[in-house]
Amino acid sequence: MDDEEAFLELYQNINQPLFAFILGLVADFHEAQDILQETYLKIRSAAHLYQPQGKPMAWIFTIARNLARMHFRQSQRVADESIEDVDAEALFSSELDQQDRIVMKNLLEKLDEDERTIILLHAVSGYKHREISQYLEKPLSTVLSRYNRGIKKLRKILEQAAA
Amino acid sequence: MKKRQIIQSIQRNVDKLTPDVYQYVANAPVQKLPFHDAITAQPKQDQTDSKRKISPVLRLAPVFALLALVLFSFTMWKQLMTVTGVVGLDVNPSIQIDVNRFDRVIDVKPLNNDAIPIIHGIAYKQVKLEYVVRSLVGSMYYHGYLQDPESAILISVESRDAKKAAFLEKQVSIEISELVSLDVSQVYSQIIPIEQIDKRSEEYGVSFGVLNLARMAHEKYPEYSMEELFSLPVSVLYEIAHSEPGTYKPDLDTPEDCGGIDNPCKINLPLIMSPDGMEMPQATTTPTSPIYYDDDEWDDD
Repeated sequence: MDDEEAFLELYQNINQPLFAFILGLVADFHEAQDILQETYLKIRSAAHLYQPQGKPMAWIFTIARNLARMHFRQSQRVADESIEDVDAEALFSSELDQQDRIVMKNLLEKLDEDERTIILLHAVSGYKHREISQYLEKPLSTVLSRYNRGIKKLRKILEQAAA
Repeated sequence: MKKRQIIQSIQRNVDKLTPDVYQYVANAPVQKLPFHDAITAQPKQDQTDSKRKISPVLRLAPVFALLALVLFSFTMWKQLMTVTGVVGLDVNPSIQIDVNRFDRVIDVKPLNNDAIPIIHGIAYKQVKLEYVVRSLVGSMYYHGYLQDPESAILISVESRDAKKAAFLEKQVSIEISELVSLDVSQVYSQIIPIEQIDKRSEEYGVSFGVLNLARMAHEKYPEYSMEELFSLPVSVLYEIAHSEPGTYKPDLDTPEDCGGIDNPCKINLPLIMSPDGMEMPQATTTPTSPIYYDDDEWDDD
């Protein structure tokens, strides 16, 4: 992708949803940032090979997911271990207010990968559940159930924390 | 915390935390790949296309299967419920049996008042014709019919399919001849071609078999009215209908207030002249006293 304007336009459109997606996958801010950068570089290096199939975001998410898996393998860690390692409260303390920090911490620590990713994508990108099911290649019913289950779980945790 | 608040909190979080990496990723040197690697590989186009092509068909397959099942069920139901042959039994009670292409009985209709108690209590729906005929003949016996050695039974069959009609006629004739302790010559049968079916049987209040015989007799002996012919015993009517014109003396003298089981018509039958000059005996359909038969005799083995 040599066209800088086109790349800038793409970046502005997808940066937040892509980061939300990667954060949902790895549940780690720094790792998500690394994978985000690598994803853009991969897009630039392979954009000329892209065959339009009507779902460019699905391709971009595939690249991000593959990179995330590669990161896991290289660090010899599994996703659960990475979640336990992360100190979300410390990471976000300077950026977020108290309430938002609690929400984010519990989102990353207490929900599983599917629940996190679907909730983040839906909340941040505004994608419909049907679009998310296409991008993640999961049945719509699965996306809906994971989303609702994740939200319920999060509400319950936050209510308990508030009490 | 409400769902909406949670969503808004997540939006704020991601909004604040999303790093701006544009300067780095836009300016970093990258080497263009000559072909996709494991990271950037796209799903193959043909796989996607085949999914798109096949999936609607697969999605519709259950619908087609259901439609086929419904169509098959409807066809079977129609075949089961379509009348392909009609069998009439006339003694004094007149009964009409409708059968389907599988020779199973769809309906049994009493054509006169005498037939109502005969068919009462007989289960006939989708039962084989032969079993229903056995039950009906048994019931007639039970009600006192077919006891007289001179009583007669008329079997009339009509069907659009001539082979089917012949088969039904033969089947019912054999069945009844085996069951009834009568001289076989007193079991009369006829196949009525579809084009000769007279739709006025209901109007006259007689079976289509009797109407057919009366019509045949009336053509040969116009001096007999149809009503007079209807009042004749089946055996006599059959003989008249199948006689050569002129072999009967038109001297019917039927009392006006007769009919039914209690008051059978005592008519002066025409003399039936056989080829050797012998007069045939007068027949009657008046039942004798009811004789209770052993139910087991009619059981289907």
